[in-house]
Amino acid sequence: MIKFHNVSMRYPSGYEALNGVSFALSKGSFYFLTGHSGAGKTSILKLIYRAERPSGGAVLIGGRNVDQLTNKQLPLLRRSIGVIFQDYKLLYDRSVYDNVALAMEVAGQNPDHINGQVLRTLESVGLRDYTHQNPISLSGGEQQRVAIARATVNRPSLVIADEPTGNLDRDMGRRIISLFQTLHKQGTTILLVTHDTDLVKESGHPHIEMVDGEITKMPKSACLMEDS
Amino acid sequence: MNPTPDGFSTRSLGGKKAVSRKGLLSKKTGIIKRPSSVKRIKATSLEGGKDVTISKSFQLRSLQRAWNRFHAGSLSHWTTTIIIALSLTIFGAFTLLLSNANTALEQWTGDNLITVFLEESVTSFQMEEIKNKISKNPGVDQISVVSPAIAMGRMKNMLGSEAGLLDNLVENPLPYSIEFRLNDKEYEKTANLAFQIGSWLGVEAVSYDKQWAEKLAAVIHTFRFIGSVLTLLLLTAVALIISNTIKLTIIARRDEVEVMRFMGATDSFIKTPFIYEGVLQGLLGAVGALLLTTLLYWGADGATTELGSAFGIFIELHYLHYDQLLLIMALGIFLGLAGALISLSRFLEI
Repeated sequence: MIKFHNVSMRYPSGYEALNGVSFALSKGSFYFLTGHSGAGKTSILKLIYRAERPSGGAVLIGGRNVDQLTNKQLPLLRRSIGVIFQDYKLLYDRSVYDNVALAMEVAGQNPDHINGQVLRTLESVGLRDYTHQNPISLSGGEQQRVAIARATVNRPSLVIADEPTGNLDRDMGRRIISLFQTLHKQGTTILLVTHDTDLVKESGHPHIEMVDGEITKMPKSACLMEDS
Repeated sequence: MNPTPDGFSTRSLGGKKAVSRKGLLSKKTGIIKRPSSVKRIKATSLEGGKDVTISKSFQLRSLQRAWNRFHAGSLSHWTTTIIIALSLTIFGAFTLLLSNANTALEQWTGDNLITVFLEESVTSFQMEEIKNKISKNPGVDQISVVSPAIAMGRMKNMLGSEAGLLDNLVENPLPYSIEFRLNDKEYEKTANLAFQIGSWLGVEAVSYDKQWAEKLAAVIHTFRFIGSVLTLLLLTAVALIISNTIKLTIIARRDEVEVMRFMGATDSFIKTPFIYEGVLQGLLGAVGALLLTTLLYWGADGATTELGSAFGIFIELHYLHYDQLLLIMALGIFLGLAGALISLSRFLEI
């Protein structure tokens, strides 16, 4: 599902975030991406939903080179990926419901279908009673769940999350990871960025470790085969 | 619902029980497809690269959000709307003024007496021929030949007590003339006919109240030119002001734009609410301009009626025609749209 072929990335400032990164994640897998701050984890996520473009190599999602997508094709790729940002990126000028419904509106979903689907998704993350509240009045954990609901309401095949437990206490962190595990059981491919190695060990899912823009450790299952 | 260790509902994420992901990855395009259970308004594909159809609900919600921002009293939005209203009022006032001046010129209701002065050498036969020729023109009425003696009598009447000055003349210097009235009061037609008659053989000169009419026409022409230039400048300034307001809105809402971009919003999906905002500003500005122009009309109508009655004449101003009202509304909408599009093309990179 996700393949990185010798990917390099340099920011306009000249900072080299990634250097010859290669890995492959199969459909339905669950991986953590770990490493210290500045290791290049977030850059990898940004390349997946093409918030950034590689300066070298190729990023393939579902066999398609992301960098070669046209401006009209790009929205279709992004709709197939659920992105959860470290700072949630919730919109505080509207309710929890509207935040989640926006993802369905963006995807051009049938308006008759939106209401039921949004409520079901909010129920699944335990926020059914918070529908009309403004996200700003919610706790960090609750906001994170709104972000998860928004990212999954269109039932994407791939969900990527940047430090989804970074701002939460250990207990809430576990509950959030549990939500991702539920998604994974439904067949969704998950890629979570975290620096919390304890949480990774506890979950039992494989992880790819990064240091200074390079992969230093990864399971065999994530290695890119020569012929792939 | 079964309890789970995470404490949340056991209903699967996405709202439905887990479905098989088999076949979700398109072999042809390599792009992940959503399950068929999720209904879409319009199918899109990477091959076709078609834009997603924006739902009616989205259009209404976009419009509602644009209106809510007005309702919330965003200062920049209201300021821009007032500027549009004032600018279009200036345009409306000019239109009102020129329209009434044009009507006054067209419905010019003088006696519309035209006097054709004949050359001294003209014979009675030629005089009759000219008279007949004039009579053939549509609208010609009360045509008569004025002899030099009659003309002299009229002049003496005009001079009144000073008429004795004319007694010393050895012979009557006044020529024969033909007088007639033209029923068609349109200035252009009168001027054309006078010009035409003036070129005939035996005609010395043609006189009508042309000085007054020509001066009014020149004033209207000048006002129209000044008004057009001023309006053009004003409307350009207004479009730039709207563009700046939309730019500020884009900056204020960059988080929302960014989130929508990463959720897969199309270009049109992101731009539509901003376009609605611009159009709404233009529309509200135009409505404000029509209200102000109406007030201005009421005030001017009262003042001119009073002025007219002081001079013993009846003056009534007419209001803007439907097409002029529609033009002001259309201009408002166009300005809002143009301002929004300028801003979006310059400041919103999707």
